[in-house]
Amino acid sequence: MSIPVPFKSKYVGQSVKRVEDPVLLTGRARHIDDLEFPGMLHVAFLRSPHAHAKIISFDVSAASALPGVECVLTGAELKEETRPLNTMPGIASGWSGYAMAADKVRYAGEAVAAVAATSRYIAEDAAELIQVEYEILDAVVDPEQAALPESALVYENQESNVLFERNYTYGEPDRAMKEADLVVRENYRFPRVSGNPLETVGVIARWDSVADELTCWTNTQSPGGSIRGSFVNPPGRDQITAQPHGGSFGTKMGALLKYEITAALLSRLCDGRHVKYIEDRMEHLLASSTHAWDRRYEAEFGFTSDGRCTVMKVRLLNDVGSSCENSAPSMCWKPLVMLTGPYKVQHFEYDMAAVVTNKTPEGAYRGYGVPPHTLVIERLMDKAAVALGMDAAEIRQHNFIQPDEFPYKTPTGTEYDSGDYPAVLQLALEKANYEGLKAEQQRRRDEGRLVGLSVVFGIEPGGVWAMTGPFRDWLGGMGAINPESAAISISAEGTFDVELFYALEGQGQPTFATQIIADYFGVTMESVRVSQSDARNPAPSMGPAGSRQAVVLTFALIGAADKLAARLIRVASNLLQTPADQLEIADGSVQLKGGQGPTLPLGQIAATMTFRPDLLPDEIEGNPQVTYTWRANRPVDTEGSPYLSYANACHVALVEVDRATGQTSIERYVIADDCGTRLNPAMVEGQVQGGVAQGIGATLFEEYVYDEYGQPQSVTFADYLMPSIYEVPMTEKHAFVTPSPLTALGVKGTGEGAIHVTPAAIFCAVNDALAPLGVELEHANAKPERVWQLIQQAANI
Amino acid sequence: MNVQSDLDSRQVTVTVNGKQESLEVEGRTTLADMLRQEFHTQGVRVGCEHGVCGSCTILFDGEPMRACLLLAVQADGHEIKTIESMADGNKLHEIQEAFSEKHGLQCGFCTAGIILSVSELLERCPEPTDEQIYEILGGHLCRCTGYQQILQSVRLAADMLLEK
Repeated sequence: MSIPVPFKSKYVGQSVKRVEDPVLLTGRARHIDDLEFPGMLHVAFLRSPHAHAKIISFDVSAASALPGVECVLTGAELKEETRPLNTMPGIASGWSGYAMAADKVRYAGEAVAAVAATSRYIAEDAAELIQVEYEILDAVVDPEQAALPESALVYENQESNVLFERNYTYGEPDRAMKEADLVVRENYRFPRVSGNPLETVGVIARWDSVADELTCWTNTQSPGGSIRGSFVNPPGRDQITAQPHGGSFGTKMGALLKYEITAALLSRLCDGRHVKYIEDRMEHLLASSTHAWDRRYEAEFGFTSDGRCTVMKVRLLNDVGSSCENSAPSMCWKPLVMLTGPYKVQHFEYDMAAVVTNKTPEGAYRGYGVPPHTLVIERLMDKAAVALGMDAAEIRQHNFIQPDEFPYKTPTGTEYDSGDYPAVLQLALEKANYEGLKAEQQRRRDEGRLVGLSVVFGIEPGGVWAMTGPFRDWLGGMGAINPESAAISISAEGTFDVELFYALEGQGQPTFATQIIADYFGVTMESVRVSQSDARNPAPSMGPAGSRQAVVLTFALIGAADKLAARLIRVASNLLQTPADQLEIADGSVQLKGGQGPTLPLGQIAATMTFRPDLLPDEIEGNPQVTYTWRANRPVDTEGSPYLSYANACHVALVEVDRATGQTSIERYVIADDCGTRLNPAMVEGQVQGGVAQGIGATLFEEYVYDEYGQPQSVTFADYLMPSIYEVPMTEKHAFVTPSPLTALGVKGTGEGAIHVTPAAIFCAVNDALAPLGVELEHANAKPERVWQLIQQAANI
Repeated sequence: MNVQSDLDSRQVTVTVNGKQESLEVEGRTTLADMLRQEFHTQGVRVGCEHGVCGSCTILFDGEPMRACLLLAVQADGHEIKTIESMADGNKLHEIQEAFSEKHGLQCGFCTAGIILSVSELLERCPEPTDEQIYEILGGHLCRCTGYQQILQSVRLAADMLLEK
């Protein structure tokens, strides 16, 4: 594979070991719960046992009297000091509560009071002593019922529970549907799931009202922001910093806000002492604002008799839970950037609505809404294939955007950058021995066994650079750029120090940053150190999200390296009395282009800048450090794509469903994927395999279940089943590389690709397994009890 | 309810990573909290506090155990090893080296517990079958890797220790 790199590539493209591993392997990384400060207080929350209830009164006297308790704060008191959680512009305004419930609770587990005490043990004791009187209200649980006019209201300031309704129509879907030779339709449900990183969400706040500043140490994915706007009397300045995370997957963004606000207020009330709150696992499962994709779909696709898909209609009902306290409901919009998947379809109707209910608020999760949409597309492609007597692979090949059609403009205005879908599919089929698998399936079906085979395809929007295009509607017509920065300095010894503006998260950004900078300057990886900036005023950064870091950080790193290189060459030009345009950087030195003549080690140039600035040209800063902030040079308009790269993948799965138990076992799992240039193939494989595991979790095990009263039934890892090594197949992964023409080095984002495609692969395979019984699963979570019930139904037909 | 009655302190003598110490702990203090807060072995990662995820696994007299499910007082007179005991200064243990070589970690939060469980396995069983490795890894949740590179890391660790 050739990498389109502007430098000699020794490390880029290699599966080098990760530079961040030693601190992680020895337990020395400092996570948020590892930070200790003198006199630090610990928070425990009292949480509502009811899904929907008015708060009549609080009695905190016993809690306040407990030795070791420094402060008790009720939701009613917090409300006086803060603003509603959602302070963003846009359509979600007016649809959130406060950091704690003040007048009424809207989900079971919502915090109603907080205690700060000298230990977490005492804080929890005290929380139990708080008395709250409730008047229980009818819980709004079912999203379809929630939309009805007679439903109880989650927000009395609103006319209904319908948060938004939108219709996006492209082409003439009604006419196309009428003209279709074949129409397939189905209703689907996707389970409420979440990222569930092994480390929960946490914060330490210190609000010193004398110094007039607030500092929050957190494990947020996007440090550097501000929460000043959340307070009636805000601090003069605030700083949000981030520690290394024990996994995130989108959960460590908006979910932090309610805890930051509460811990900050408690700190202010306790004379600026440090105040720590770490969710325990039950709190995370019960009440962290991270639940995602509780969705119902009605979908209808039209085809010609020869298997060409001409029209897609998808109607989405999204249950956002009780609050729009973060931007998560914008996950409904993301499918607009890949609405037709890898297929050429000109007529599309995407009709979406979201309702609030008395459940835990929605939060971002890896994939940001694309996985359920991909599942709907892929399952209906399968249904059409069956109806037309075509093979699953054949119908996809028949509808693919072709390699010579890139850049391909989708009906919504998105431009897919590059790809070769037929080749990726072909690679997967070959490696899987697809024909052999089909024969094997038939042989076992003949024995009466339930064996399913799926071939599915998905698109991964990556490198999110702006909240533009479809997201502007969510933001009330506004757009926002999501820049990324990197800083580089060089020492007199010729070593490089690279700073990133977010915390260690696990995907390996420090490693590929080391690879890129070492190659750029022609030095060893050992000469490059990457760390997180501790700048008081950090350069702009969005951090990891939207499969973006391979794309945006690569841009930022190369931009910073170019800036530093130009400065070093300018100084060298002066020292060597040689025009700058005749010089280049190679092997850690400045040399004459072509390699002839004297060389000047980069460290020596840095030493000159630091110790002999009198030798510098006047216009050159004597500072061997640069910061570069990258932004895409594209218009922020209502058209266009918020994503730069479109990776793609084909998954082939062979499963068997046990007739007696309804349990699905995955026997073979083959992946071919194209994420452009692979900076570090082993890290890409890790991202893919991790996404597969989460996709399998969502479709076979994980689900947040609520009863008819809105009581959560999945509040431990014994109820919310995370896949273990026994449940996750060892997949066979194959790379296909089409470098992106729009990104530095040809990379495409790859953090989310596998979770986009895996739910579809499992769902389609399970349905294929059940096909001989004449039953079909509509709920995307194919847990044994659900499948078993279907098998019983079939037996009774 | 008389909260004070739960707070009785006890004297505990425990050996952590080869160093014996005596200290007073409340009866209800979990072993995980004592290790993290009193011994500052913060590599003991607390993931679920109900014994499912395995992140807080330590070696208790050589046996892998969940530090979140034990009380500190139960460690009285016992020997505990945490991840901090594995490397020799900045020289990684072979198991740690193998995890780095095979990309057996991403965020690293579950890794300490896994490495300790694996160290016990490889001591007891230097040439483990995949089935034996699965049995050990089956007691640990990892949300990042999907386990494949962990499995490869454990296989490599076994090879490295055999060659040692």
